[in-house]
Amino acid sequence: MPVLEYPIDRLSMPIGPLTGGPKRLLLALIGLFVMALLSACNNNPYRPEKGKMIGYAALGEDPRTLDPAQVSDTVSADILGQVYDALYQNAYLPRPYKVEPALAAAYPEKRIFFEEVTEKGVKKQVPRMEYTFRLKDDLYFQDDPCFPGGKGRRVKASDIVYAIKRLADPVVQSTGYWLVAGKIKGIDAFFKRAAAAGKADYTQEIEGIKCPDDRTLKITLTEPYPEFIYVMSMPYTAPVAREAVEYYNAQGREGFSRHPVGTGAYRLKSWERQHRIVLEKSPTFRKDFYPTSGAPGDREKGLLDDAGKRLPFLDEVWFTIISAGQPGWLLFLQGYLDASGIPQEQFDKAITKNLELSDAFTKKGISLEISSNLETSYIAFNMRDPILGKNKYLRQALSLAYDSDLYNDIYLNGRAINAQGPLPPGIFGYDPSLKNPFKAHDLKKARELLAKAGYPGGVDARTGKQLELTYDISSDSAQAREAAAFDMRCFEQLGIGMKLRVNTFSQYLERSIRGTFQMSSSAWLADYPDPEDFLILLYGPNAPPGPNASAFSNAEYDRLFERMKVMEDSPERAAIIHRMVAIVVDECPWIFNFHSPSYVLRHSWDKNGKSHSISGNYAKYLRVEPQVREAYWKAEDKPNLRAPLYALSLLIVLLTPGMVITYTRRRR
Amino acid sequence: MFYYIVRRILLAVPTVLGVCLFTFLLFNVFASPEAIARKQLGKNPTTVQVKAWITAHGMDKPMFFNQKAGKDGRIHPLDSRFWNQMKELILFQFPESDYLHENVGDLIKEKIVPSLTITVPAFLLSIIATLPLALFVAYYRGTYLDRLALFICVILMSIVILNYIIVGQYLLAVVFKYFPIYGYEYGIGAWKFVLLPVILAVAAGLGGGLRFYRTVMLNEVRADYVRTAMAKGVSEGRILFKHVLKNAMIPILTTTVLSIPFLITGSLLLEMYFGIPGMGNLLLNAINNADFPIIRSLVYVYSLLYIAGSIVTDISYTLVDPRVTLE
Repeated sequence: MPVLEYPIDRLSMPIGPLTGGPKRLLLALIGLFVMALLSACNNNPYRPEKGKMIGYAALGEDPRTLDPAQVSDTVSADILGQVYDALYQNAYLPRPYKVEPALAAAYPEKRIFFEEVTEKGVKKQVPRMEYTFRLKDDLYFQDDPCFPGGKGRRVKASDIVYAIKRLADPVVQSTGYWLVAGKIKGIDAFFKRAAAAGKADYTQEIEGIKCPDDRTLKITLTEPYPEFIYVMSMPYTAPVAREAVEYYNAQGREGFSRHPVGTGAYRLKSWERQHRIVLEKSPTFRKDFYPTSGAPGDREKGLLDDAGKRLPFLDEVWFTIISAGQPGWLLFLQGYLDASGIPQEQFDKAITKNLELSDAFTKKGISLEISSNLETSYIAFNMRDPILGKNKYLRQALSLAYDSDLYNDIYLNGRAINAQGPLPPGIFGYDPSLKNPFKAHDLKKARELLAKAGYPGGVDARTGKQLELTYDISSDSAQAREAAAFDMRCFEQLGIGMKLRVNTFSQYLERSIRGTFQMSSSAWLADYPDPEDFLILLYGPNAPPGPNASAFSNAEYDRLFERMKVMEDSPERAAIIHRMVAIVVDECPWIFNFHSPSYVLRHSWDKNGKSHSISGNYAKYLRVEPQVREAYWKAEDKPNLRAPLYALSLLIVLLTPGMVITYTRRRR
Repeated sequence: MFYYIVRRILLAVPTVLGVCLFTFLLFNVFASPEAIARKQLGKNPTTVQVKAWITAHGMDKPMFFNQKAGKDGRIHPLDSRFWNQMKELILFQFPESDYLHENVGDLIKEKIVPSLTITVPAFLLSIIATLPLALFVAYYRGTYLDRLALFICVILMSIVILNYIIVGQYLLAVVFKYFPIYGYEYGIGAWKFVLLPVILAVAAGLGGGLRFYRTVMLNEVRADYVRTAMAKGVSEGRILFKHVLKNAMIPILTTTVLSIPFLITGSLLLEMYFGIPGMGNLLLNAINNADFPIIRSLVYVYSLLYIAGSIVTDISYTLVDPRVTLE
């Protein structure tokens, strides 16, 4: 008998002898655990809040900052838009998009005048543009401890001047300085002085900004720039109280970026980083009313039921930060989020082949809203690349080989719009009749053009070597690799060799600043609803490190851009834009890929929801019906208590015979 | 033992420096200061603005050794990016995050509690659950129960944690509806949100832990002193809990004490899927946003913790096993 086997065979009752203290402790622990388990038996993630109308929403990530001068991500903009109102706002219901007065009493007065300047000893007349903005009467900051007595004070025009000066303060590290740099007269000089001193001196004036009185603001631009009104509708130029910045940036306090104090309909109640942001109705919010007219079809959808009513409706808005895809979707299905997008893997379940909502969802009272995003995705060629940059036919051939429709079907559930040019639908100058001849996916024609480009069959006619191109991606994720593999397969059909280069984000950024890539995919989401925001991406002087990553440069395009930029919307402006798009289509610095629409699902209690591509102060328009929601919660939240009993019984049935047999055998 | 500890602490210095150097190189060789500045300054910063950012962050200085004379006319060779950053960390004066514009020390203080509310209960519960189970399985060694347990263990070990999370979340929170799917509450209300991730963390670690503890127990019950004790008529329960368990503690201690520093690092996936605003989330977001001040601070803190953990493990050997002395 092997000696080593002996002790274990004689050992019995391993758990039995547990007596006294440890046993009681163990039992207490198990008891506590079971109790906790039972009392946790509901899946409502929110504390009960009786008598309040609360909107429950999700955010994809934590906002970077709630300092309006530092916002650069859509998530921060989403929250800031509710807390800070600017002079103008994106009108909620009308389409195409337009801006309307918010804090401003009316649209601005514009005046073009000529100023004599001496440049290199030559005197010339330069056109300038002066904007005059008038503020409404009843504007107050939100109540906050930073003000005397905690009461929000009246808003002055100088609070907007302060906000603009903050953009040009190197200490603030603003992401919005580019919007005013070179445009407001004297702001560059202000920034230079501030950069040299290490910080801005707020007592110094900016030449082009004047406040004749507390309600009037005059801004002089270095050239006519009608898009400036969009700048005045962004959180960057929302009035900021100097008291708030100084109070919260004082030593020992958490910082102004965590304590926004604005003039919007909602003020910040709490912000638990990476977890939840709660906004509450601001009692000092100005008199503001729900719009009485909207886009065609809005009335039928019930979007005008609340027309003329005082805003806002919701007492509080809770934003839960959810970075993974599954939890957000599941919370929506359980009714704990009022609205949700559709994760790609759930798309087929929710949406039928005809792009309608499936029955399972309509039965629950859920409705679908499809809206276009002001977004264009594309594959950019580097125009400074010796192979691609100088060879228009090659770029055209690659564009023809690219199969957007197939990509759309495979990866985007067929919901995207095949882009023909840089402008997405909904933007002034978008031409629905445009048919890009190089987006036709025609391999035969692509091969002809490739031969014309000097690479018949993908082989360099001069050297006899196969043409090889490098495709850069900015992420190592499976999704990015898969998408790149698809793109490259399209080009390989022409006999071209494709090489994938996976970059870290920093490496990728480095490549786009230095312009050391051949081709790479990218996308642009509008900052404001004007074609200039898209066409600027191909404007020659914006070559890297500027936003024109392709380094596309075309004299006619640049000239037209400069003209278009300073024009008001008109048939003439549209004609210029069409010409610019035609140049880009022919020159093919990008393979235009998609405009992706957004699909939003809403529960029946979620009223007045309408997607807006440029986030703004939308929360004040939303209303919910709490009783309907509570009924839904009750119907959904019924824990299944039988299942664990079954599982436990099964475990006992499985284990008992073995335990009994072994125990009796060893006793013997 | 004193000299041993001093030696280990001295050895820790080059280790931590090396780790920090490696991280520094990773983030500074591949990305120029300009790239980092542009990443943090949003869509379309002006050149002047980029320059001002670089100067304000000391990124215009050389990487390691500064040979230029400073403002006082003297050369300060260590006035460089790496050494200035190291100086901050060594003095625990954490920098400001590039992306969030907040002090990293404050962020860590804020995030550490939610992380611990998951990792500590999961850690304790997995020991509490695994030890008796291991004794149980060890007792039934050789029977079908033992084989069944081992079989289940291997299955449990082969499943990646992400599957536990996705399936567990779906089954327990969506189908059976016992728990909230997602969320967190600071304070005592946290327990409701912590239960499910803790259960899943325990389940995910059960297979490996059980197999390991079982092996340890089996090695011990075969030892001579067990036979001696039995011959002397000591009760079986006493042998098991007084003698076997104590001796089995040495390998168990190694693994448990070594894993204590990781309690603070948090669990990346659990935090992400259950909405726990902890350290794992902080690090993940910092990496996504190329927020180097957070990354280098966390790397520094974690490497210190790891080294401290391994020193404590060594010391704990001497406490449980009188045969071990540290020299």
